[in-house]
Amino acid sequence: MILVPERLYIYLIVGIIIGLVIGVIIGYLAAPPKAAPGVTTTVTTTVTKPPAVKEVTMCYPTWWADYWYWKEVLIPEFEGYMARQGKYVKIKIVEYPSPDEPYRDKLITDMKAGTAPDIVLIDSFWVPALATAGYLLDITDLVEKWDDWKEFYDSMKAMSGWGGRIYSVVLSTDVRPLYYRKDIFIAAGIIKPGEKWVPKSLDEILDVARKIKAWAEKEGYEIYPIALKAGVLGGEATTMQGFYMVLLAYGGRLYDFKTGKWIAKSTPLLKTLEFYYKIYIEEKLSVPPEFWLTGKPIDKAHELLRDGKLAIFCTWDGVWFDTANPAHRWYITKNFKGESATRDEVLDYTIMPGPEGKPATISGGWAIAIYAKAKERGTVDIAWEFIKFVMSKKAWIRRWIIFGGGLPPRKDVPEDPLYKGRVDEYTLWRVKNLLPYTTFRPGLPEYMKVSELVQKATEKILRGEKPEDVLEWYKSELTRIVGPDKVEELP
Amino acid sequence: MKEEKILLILMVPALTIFALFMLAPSIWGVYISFTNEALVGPAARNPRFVGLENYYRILSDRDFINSVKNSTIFVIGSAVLGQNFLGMTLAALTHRRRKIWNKIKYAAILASTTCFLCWITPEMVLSLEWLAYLDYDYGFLNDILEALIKVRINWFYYYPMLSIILINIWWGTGWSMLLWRSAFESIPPELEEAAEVDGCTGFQKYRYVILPLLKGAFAINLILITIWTYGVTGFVLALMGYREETTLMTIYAYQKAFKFYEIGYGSTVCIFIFIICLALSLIYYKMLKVRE
Repeated sequence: MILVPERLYIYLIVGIIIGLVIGVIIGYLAAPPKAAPGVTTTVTTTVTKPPAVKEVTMCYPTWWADYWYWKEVLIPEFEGYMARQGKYVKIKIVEYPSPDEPYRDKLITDMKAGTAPDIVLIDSFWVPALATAGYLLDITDLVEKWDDWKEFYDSMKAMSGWGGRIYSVVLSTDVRPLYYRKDIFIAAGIIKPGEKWVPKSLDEILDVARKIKAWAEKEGYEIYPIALKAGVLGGEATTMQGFYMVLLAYGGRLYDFKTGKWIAKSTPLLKTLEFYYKIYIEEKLSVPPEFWLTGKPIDKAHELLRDGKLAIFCTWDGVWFDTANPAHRWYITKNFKGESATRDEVLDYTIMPGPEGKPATISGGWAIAIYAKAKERGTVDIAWEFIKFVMSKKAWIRRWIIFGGGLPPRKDVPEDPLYKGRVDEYTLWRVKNLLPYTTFRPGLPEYMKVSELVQKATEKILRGEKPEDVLEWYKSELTRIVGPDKVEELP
Repeated sequence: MKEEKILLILMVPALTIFALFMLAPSIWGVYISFTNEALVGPAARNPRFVGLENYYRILSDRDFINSVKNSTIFVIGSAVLGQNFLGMTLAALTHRRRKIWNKIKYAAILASTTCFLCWITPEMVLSLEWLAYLDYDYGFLNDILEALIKVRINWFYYYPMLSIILINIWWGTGWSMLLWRSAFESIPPELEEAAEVDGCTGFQKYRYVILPLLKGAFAINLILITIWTYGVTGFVLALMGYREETTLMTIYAYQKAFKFYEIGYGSTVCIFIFIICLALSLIYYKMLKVRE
């Protein structure tokens, strides 16, 4: 017997204490070292060493397609640009390989721990949540001195900030159109060949859906006239591309930016729920409700659009390119009869009609910002120079020429000959018809809970509950979640 | 003394790991359950001590109460009734001490191996397997049902809780079977022979001789599978997301802590999971009157 039993507890406690002390020492030694002050050494004979290089870190989501461009082109160019001004800097990329939610989790955790890089790339709708947590540097004074700032769309400026202050600069943005299968529309007699459908109201959209349903039943085609993303499984897509689009079309919002309160009840909210109820339950103009409640409904809905089994669908703008990409699973190769066809022959886009005939759409997009602790690290100046450099008109257009995709946050880009000469018709249409009218989500910390509530509300409709009851439920749950002093009711 | 000092030195690395990665986070978790600590928003900048506010809030939180109800049904259905009794039955049928062992040997080995393979399947792999099996559009089970009786069933939509209970029974029975098998084989054969000599029927032998001796194994198995099943998160989240019908306490804690970034409140949910598991363990222990 090695140990006397009653001494064992003492040894365990002593061992744990020793373990904690060793752990703290290891943790201290492993902590990132503070930046060493630059040291200049001048050899006064024949060789002069260059001044110390100031290092600025930047996080980069390596799953983006343009990673190599930032690393091999933009950053070296910027470093050269700064060197010519006598400032020697190095932008060091800190790779963040996980996409979407894990990227956000990792970045937020790093920000909380104080170890996030100086320059951060964030989804613009996180700005309020991160700004109120004190993670982002207030750059209002910096942008106001920047000549280029006046070239940014007002909506992009608003998306970049919170509470009247600016915390980021939007890198690029997107919008949401309404897609429709023109081969079905032509066959059903809704439009003539070569004609573009421009709905004036949601009532008109419902009328068209009814006509398509009647025609499809008569001709024996299994076609769903319309679909709106719904249900909790759809996630944020349900809120942004389904519910919010219809709500905006009815002139409503989820949050009142003027009063700083969430809207618990309003006519547009009720009408939106009624719209869902009409298409899914009352008139059955859409897919069966349980379509959205299991499996991967978003994927399946796009497949229906691809195969000509869905006539009208609201989804994000990038789908236009996906449906023409042979490598993509939503690549269109057939018309609704199964005959060979290209995307341009069968698919078209239009606006979601909003109040007073203006388009209703909503934007997201990623932004570049400076981590608040950059101030202590003394890297704000370099970080801000880098942001101005990558967001200049020329740099933006050049990045767009190589990678395509996103819409410009700057009004002067669409007028530039370099852009105008290369932009495709769809992008030009988005820039001219949707971008000036767009809005954005209220990215407050509680937005995720409200978004989930919206998803649950659509799910209640899918399960057959009446819109009025669902709205009462939404009001009571919203009040419970955000507090009674943060909600209001509107007519 | 010298040996004691050497032992202490040898224990320090393990105790360091225990202290750093298990004890310290647990203590911190308990502490933040008394704060409004969050990862975003004003509370991230200025977290404050709120005392028992999270605990009061949680007791009137409808979503939390729903998650407790779901977890309880899930544990009773899949662990206490499913894994435990299925494992016991399989062990009783397949342990080596059975007189008909030679006749059932290969079937027993096949059953045991299959059970064991299910148990060691990684959680994300099993969620993909069951998605491939139960999915409404592409599921193998639905293909069979359609071929036989021209019916497809949307399992995840109409029977969400039943689906996850069945999946968890499939996943965890292997452990119960192993534990019961070793328990059966630890019973001295002389006791069974003595019971037979005294004229006991098969049922009487099990009821009065074997099962009383297995109380310890019963208690240990129940305690372990209850704690483990209360901790199940992965495949339920992967297959069901945050559906109200299948939001377990662990999923609710995860949602609060990592979707809404309210880590203080999420910790409070975890404390309740701990309290429930501790209470149930003590109850099992007392009910079965386990003695050393």
